[in-house]
Amino acid sequence: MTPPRPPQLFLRFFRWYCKPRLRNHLEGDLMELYNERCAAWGKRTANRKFIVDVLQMFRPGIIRPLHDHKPINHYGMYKSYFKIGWRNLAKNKGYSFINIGGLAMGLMVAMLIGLWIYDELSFDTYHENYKDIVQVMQAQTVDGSVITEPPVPWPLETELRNTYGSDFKYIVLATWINYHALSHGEEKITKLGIYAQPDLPEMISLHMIAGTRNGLRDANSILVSASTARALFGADDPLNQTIHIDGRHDAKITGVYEDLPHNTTFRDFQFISTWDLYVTTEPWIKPSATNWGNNSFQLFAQLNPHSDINNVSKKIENVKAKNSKEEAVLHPRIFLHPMRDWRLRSEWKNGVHSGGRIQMVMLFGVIGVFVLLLACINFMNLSTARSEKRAKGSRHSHDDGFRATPIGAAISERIVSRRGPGVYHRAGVCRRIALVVQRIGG
Amino acid sequence: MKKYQLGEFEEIVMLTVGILYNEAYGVSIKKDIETRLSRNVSMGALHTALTRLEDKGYLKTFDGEATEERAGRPRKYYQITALGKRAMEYSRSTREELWRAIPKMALQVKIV
Repeated sequence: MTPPRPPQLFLRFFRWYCKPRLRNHLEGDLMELYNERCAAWGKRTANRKFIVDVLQMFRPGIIRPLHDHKPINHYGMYKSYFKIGWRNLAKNKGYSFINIGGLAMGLMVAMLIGLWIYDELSFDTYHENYKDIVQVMQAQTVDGSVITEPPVPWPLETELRNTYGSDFKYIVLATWINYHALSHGEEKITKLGIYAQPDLPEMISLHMIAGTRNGLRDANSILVSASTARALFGADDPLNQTIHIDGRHDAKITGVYEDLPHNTTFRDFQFISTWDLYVTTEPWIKPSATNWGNNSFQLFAQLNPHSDINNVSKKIENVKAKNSKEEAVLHPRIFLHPMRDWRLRSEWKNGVHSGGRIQMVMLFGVIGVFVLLLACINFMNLSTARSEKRAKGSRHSHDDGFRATPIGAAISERIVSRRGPGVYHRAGVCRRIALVVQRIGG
Repeated sequence: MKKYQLGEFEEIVMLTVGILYNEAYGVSIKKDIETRLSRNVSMGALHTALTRLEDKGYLKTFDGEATEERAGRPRKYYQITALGKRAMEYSRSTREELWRAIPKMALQVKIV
């Protein structure tokens, strides 16, 4: 004999409206009472009381909400991801250490190399006119081999200014960077400095803290870096103070500029004084103004925006040979070396550009990529080995270590999860991090 | 003070759960209240109260066995939590305080 059944319509009604979490044991209670009443008073009475019970339970505390549970965020799913990932990590500590440590090491090496390469490639970009600044270089043939070097004679500057002036915005003749003693009252320091023509500050776009970039117009003036000013004057205002250079001549501070950053070619000098002052203090220089044979100076320039560096180089190629019969025997070739190549491409072999530091940069770049690749392969190998081991214990042979349905995920999230991490998800980034943690956990 | 909210029916349910100790589930609580207090308890009212007490943290539950007479549905047993006990004690002590505060004369009602 089958046990008596309560009115199915009302049972179905109850199942429909009841909160899911109450449904099971409430139905149990209803059935228990129903069976008891059947035994005590018969099926009819039991049916009637069952209906009354069902109707009396149709009240706010028991009726389920209109829509199924709808999480407003994905917190639960992610929490589960992280928890499972973390537990897997903690379960295999040695393995996790090797795996994560190896990957971290690889990433670290690749990142350090990347930072270094970035630093090298961004060299000199501090200057606003980075693209147009050039150094005038000279290649001469000595004993059959071509020597390419920066030193040029003074008359070259005059010649470029007078004959080719339309191609250049600024032309700046400068000395080498040397140590000089600076003193003010009792304070004495030694700093690297350069003597240059007045357009240098404008050309290399110094960031002035005090004074202007025009401060070198007067012969007896000097621009100092902020650190030099601090060393000499402390907290006092350095502007318009007079300092003594090399114990021989005075110069007035007409400006203070922000120290040049480490990744600039001009970072070395801490003050700039004027070319004219240099000439008056070093009498041997004077005759060099017309001497094409004294290759003792640096010549920088900024091209006009419309001038092409290769065209200008070609134009000025023979300027020295034309102007000096004695020097022509060395086949001097003048050309422009752009600022973007100063740091990384400053080597010549027999007059032909042969590269420079850029080769090191490339080499390290390749090493970095390989280290990263090896780290990733190693990581994937270990992870795959791990998940295979885990899959053996699993009922599903296709288990690749991922859970097909994340715990705590709503139905829409489950669909996304099945499709895998590649699909768009509105919290995609976070989700991927979670998956990585899970992956690491093996 | 709204520290411990316990309605009259809720208090009865709590006490009955205490009386039944490890045997307190829907049907047994209903029957016990009905026999002891001779008042009718509807399944709806009882389960609403039980759910509310559970949400408040005064009761905790554990699943029991599924039997044939319950059509395979498990029983859900209720137990009083520490917080539930404190709520009951609070309710009792406030009652007693109020009782003590009533002057004797007020209760000497003559039935003529």
